[in-house]
Amino acid sequence: MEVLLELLEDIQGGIDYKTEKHLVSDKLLDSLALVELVSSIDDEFGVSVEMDDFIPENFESIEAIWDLIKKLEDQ
Amino acid sequence: MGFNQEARGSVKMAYTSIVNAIYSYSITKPRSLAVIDEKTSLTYEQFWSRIMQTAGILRSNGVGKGDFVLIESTQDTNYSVFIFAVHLLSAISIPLEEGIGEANLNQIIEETGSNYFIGKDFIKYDNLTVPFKDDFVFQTDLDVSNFNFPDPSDIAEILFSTGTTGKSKGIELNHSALVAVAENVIFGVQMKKGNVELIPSPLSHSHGLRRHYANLLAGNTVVIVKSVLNVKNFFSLIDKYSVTAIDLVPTALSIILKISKRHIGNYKERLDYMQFGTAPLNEADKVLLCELLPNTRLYNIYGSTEAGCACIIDFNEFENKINCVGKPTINSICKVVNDENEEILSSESNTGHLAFSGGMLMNRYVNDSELTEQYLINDIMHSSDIGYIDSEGFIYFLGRKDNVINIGGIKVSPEEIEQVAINYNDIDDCACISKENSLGDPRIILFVKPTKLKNFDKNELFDYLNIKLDKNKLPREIVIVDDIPRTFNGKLMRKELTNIDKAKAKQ
Repeated sequence: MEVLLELLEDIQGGIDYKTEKHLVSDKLLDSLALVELVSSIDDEFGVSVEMDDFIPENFESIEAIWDLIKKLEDQ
Repeated sequence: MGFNQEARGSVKMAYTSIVNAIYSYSITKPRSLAVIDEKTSLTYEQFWSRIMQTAGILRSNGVGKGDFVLIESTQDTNYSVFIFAVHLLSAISIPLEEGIGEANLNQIIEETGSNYFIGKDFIKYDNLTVPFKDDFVFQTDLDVSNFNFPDPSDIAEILFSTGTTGKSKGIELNHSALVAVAENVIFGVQMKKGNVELIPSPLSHSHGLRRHYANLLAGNTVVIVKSVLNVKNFFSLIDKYSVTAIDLVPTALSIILKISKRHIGNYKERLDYMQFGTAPLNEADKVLLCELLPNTRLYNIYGSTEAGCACIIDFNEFENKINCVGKPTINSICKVVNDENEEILSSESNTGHLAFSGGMLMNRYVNDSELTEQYLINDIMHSSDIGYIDSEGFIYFLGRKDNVINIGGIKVSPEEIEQVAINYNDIDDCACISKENSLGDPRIILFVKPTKLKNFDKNELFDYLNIKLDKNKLPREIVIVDDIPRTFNGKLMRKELTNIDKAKAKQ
């Protein structure tokens, strides 16, 4: 999770990722930031986020993003 | 100047306003779909009925000819209904971004003296507050008769934009201009009958709004989408409504290609065309799109809020014409003028300012006669864009006059350097500015956003540029940044770069 936190802070600083639960719906992360995050997740964790998983709900909080990574790793 | 002359001047569409066209289609093709969003689809008959009823409600609350009505975009069919209800009353629509800030809103109210604000959940201004929900348009038995269509010369809308001059201002357009811009799109993209166009671009801005007008003027179907963030939903809507055309801004295309990979290629037999605005596409996206959609017309439409959709090029057909914005659209005439605003015979070595005339031009800048007189001279809109017209009539846009850098007497366009740099493999985006050295001489600074920060080597980029660029155009400094500041539709915010550079210098 710490690695993910670093990735997020690199992409968009100034957000309290540990408490924020509406990263997408509150427009804290815009679409380009999400695309950048998907690339970084691919590089760092070796999992590819496909179209079916690229939905706002999967990116609303650091926990949701972490769950997505775990799910993709298990596949 | 001789482009599309055979078409120009002929009667194109029979309507004096977009709302007039919608009414006509409600009679001639009542069951054809007009506007669709993620929850609602309206036939022309239903659309017209809602427009009439909404106009009735607005009229009963005092909205009439010449009133300014601010409309917050909700990027759905309701928003579209409000725009045309306002037009039906010969009132003036002022589209606003969803969630517009108070300071910006107050400035617009002050500039226009607006009487009404249609917000996301209510209508409010002065003493008027009318709450409304989704069933708003159904709960009325108001008199909806005796509407007169607006006159073509009536003011239809005011769009707030930084546009050509770099300063925020209201741009006033009448109904005939809206029709002319829509015709520029219809004829430019060779829109077919039965076209179904997916529009995820914000309808609060001229780009998305005008594509929406064009399809309705032609009696076609608009599918309004709030965002491309849900890429799967984007493709589901293409399937569900048998979409034949898509309007995108460059960032939206990047998202779709990055997330869906080559999926859009599955629609190569169905997509008649895709259209983009003036902002340049990422070169890699452009190449991939041409490969995936070999038979789809892919348009860049060049223009401004003041002179809408003035030139068009299919970059799938003319892929090698660097900096070319195509040829004038049906209502547009392009000239190249010198600093004294005199027309010149331009060429690659004899450039000037692009200037446009035609029915699509704005009336004026609101409350700024000085600015109007500076740019709109004898019904010709003078831009700050530098370019030329070649012997075949193709128009080239080389950059903005304000951005030109004078290096030892040689005028260098930063856009030219950016066009070269962006083709370097390891960068996602880039932009140039000039900065004076200690002697007061301008130096070219190139900002780059690397594809991957790790292992990015500035010296390799310098070597690449050294081969590709004239020596006097070589950047003296390369600055690595996280992001190149751009607006929602990809336009570069060049002044922001100067701030970034100053901030970095302080570090």
